[in-house]
Amino acid sequence: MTPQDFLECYASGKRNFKGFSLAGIDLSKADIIGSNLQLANLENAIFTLAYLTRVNFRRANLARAQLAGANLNQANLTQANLSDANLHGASLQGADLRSAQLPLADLMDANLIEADLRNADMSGANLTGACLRGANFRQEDRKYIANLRGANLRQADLEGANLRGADLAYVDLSEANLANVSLQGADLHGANLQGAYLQSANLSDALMADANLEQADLTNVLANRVNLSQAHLDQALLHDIRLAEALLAETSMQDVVLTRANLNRADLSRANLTRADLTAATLVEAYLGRANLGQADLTNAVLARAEISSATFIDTVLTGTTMPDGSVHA
Amino acid sequence: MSMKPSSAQSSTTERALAAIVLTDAVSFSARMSVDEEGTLMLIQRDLELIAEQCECFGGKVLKSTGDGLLMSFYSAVQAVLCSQEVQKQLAKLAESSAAGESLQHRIGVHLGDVLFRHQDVLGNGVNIAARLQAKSAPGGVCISQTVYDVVKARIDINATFLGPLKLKNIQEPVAAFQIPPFGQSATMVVPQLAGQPVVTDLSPLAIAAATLEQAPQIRRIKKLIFGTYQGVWENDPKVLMQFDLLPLLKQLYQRHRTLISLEKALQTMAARLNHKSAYLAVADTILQALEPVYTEAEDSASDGEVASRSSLRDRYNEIAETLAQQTDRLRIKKLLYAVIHTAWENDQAVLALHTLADLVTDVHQIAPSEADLSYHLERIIKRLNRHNHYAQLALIISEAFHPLYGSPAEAAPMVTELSAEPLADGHTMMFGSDKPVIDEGLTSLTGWQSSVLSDGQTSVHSSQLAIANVCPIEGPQDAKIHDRANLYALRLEIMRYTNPLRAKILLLSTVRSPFTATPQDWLTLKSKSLDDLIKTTFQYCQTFSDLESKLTIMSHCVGNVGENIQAAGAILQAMKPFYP
Repeated sequence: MTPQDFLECYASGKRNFKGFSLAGIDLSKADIIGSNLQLANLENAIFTLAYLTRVNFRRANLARAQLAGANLNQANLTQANLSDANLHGASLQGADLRSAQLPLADLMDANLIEADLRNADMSGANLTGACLRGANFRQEDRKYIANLRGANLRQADLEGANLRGADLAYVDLSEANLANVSLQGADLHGANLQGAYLQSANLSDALMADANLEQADLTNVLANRVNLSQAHLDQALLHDIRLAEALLAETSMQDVVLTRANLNRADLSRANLTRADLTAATLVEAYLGRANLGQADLTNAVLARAEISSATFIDTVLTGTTMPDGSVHA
Repeated sequence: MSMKPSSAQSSTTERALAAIVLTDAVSFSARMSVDEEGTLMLIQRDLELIAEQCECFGGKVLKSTGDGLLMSFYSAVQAVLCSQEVQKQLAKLAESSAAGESLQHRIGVHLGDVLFRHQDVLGNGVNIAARLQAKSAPGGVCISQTVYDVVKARIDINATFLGPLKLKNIQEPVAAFQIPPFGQSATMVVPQLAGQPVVTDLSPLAIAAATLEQAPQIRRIKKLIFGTYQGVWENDPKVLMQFDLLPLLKQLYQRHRTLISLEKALQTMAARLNHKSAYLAVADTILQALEPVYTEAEDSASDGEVASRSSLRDRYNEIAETLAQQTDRLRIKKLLYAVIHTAWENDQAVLALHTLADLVTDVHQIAPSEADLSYHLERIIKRLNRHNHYAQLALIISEAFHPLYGSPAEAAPMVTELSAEPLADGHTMMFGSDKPVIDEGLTSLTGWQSSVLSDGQTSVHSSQLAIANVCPIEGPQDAKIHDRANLYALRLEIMRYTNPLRAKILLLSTVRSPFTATPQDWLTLKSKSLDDLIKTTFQYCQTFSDLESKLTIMSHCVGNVGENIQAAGAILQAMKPFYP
């Protein structure tokens, strides 16, 4: 079937192309809104800048298809094979991508607002700059969570997403928007979160060992019991962060801002807190064995019952600091 | 002419017969070297206008050369009609703009076989159009004989035959015709050509201009006229070259409706100069040349106008009386004096020489509209120490002058009226605005450069003046400007309202060159995220109006204009809150 034949059929009112074999067809810029292409073989098909709103691609084979700039709003892509497909700058707002196969797909700068991504396989996909606000990644109380292993999420917008328990080990989330995201118990070890925006996110119980959070904004984050050992947090903003019982062993935190942070019972052994701003932070019962607090500012901080005997305090500001013995430093 | 140029996305080369139109701004680089920002603003405005007209006449903008556009048309008639309309619109725009706030453009049109490749067009036909453009009179259109032959039966064009022209790098001589600038007859452009009908309906002002052009001290004449009109002394011949004598005279005549008023203005300016006596003589020459203009005007003035003139005097007296009742009349006098003389006068003896009625009369000459008055008052006040106090007085003056401007029915609430009224009527006098008003000396280039500020900027000042009694004047009002460090909301906005890929194509085209869908272009597009492109665009487009015009022009240069305009709209909407 040639593109002309196909478009003539569509123009004559035909909508049902279920199971058609249309591999490699060039329908760039075509308008086939509302077609039924269920189970169709569309491998290597070209839909660049095409209008595919509400098209039914359920279980269709779209492997290596060219869908750059295509309008796929509200399209049904459940269980579709989109592996290695090019969806650069495509619009998938409200699309149903449940259980879709998207490994290695290019979703750079794609609009995935309110898309349903439950159980979708996006491993190794390029999601640079993609907007995923309101996208559904997981069903509560079920295991069907989107697979983002090895995906590139640089500058992606995930604000408010529910990524509880997601496997995001080693993913690139640099400069991503993770404000209000739930990453509770997620695996982010070795992930790149440099310059990411995480305000008010939930990182409780997350595994973030060895992650890069330099210059990231973690203001007002809830991160109790998070594992940030050996992570890099230099110049990060951590105002009002709750890090109670967090594991911060050997963490690099030079020049961080931890004003009013809650570090009660946190493990900061061998952490590098050089020039850190800990004004009004609470470190009750914190463990600071061999921690470096050189030139740090602990004005009005509370170190009650903290273990600081082997910590370094060179040029540290301790004005009004409550010391481990309960005394207030002059 | 039935062949169609290839579509934007096609990567094949296609040969076609097309009418090629090329425009070019006159002395663009010279003006750029004098005032980069102002000139850029003007060129963007003009190119936008040209692109719009091109679309209206069914043409296609192929590319921008920076100071001109390359366009193609399927029809030579449409190409010529479009070129004429463009020059007409630009002439009208120039007429309504202040002196120095408009550019002139040359246009060349040729019909020939050309090669369309991607969005570009190549071939001898394009080269000829380019050479013809260079031969055109500023404000005019130069068309080849081929174009002329095709269109002469369909369009009534008053073109002058230029003869076979030897064009640079073109082997055969090309016969060409000159369509004169809008509002001019063919003979005015090429007067030396014989065999053309001679039109002699020259206005008295045009005759005066022609007389002055012949005078031996034309350079000094121009300097004095320019200086008197603009209020700044300009010695740079390159800058002066940009201004034709006739429009300057027209504007001067509009401001000074009597010969006496003009005489006073010219002599005041001359008296301030080093070569005072030489320039007083120059002033005489100018007055002599312009005398017939004034006598003719008086002859044609009806009795009714004389009556209105005398009633105007009564109104000046009324305003003077109102102001005289103010307790702070001395400071009011100082302000009015400063508006007229651009110098701050503290000497009571000097001020005593001027009655309030005289000052009111002269201020009205300088500020024929309410916006002008606010502008001049604001200009002075912002350099005074006692801003707030003088802002109050300015308000009193504005209120007193209000009956002079328009009927009460038209008078909108002050703030809206002032901010809505652009100062484009040629009276935006700018004095060395960087210098304190105490400095008597007139500045040269600095003043001129700032005189090319946009209308928008000037009207901001006037609206600030109107609210001066509520808040201090200094500094622009800080509207809430969004932080450019966090662009997530901006991207969300763009994605919600337009196709992300189209937005990227448009932005990449704007900051680089028009997207032509080549594999290289696609690779470039993939190497830049939307975020990267937005950041580059912020750097590239310093002001919102800059962004607006660049995006609009680009919408016409990249395939699928309708979709692009939609995308440009969404981008502009989203980016606007991030500009001051």
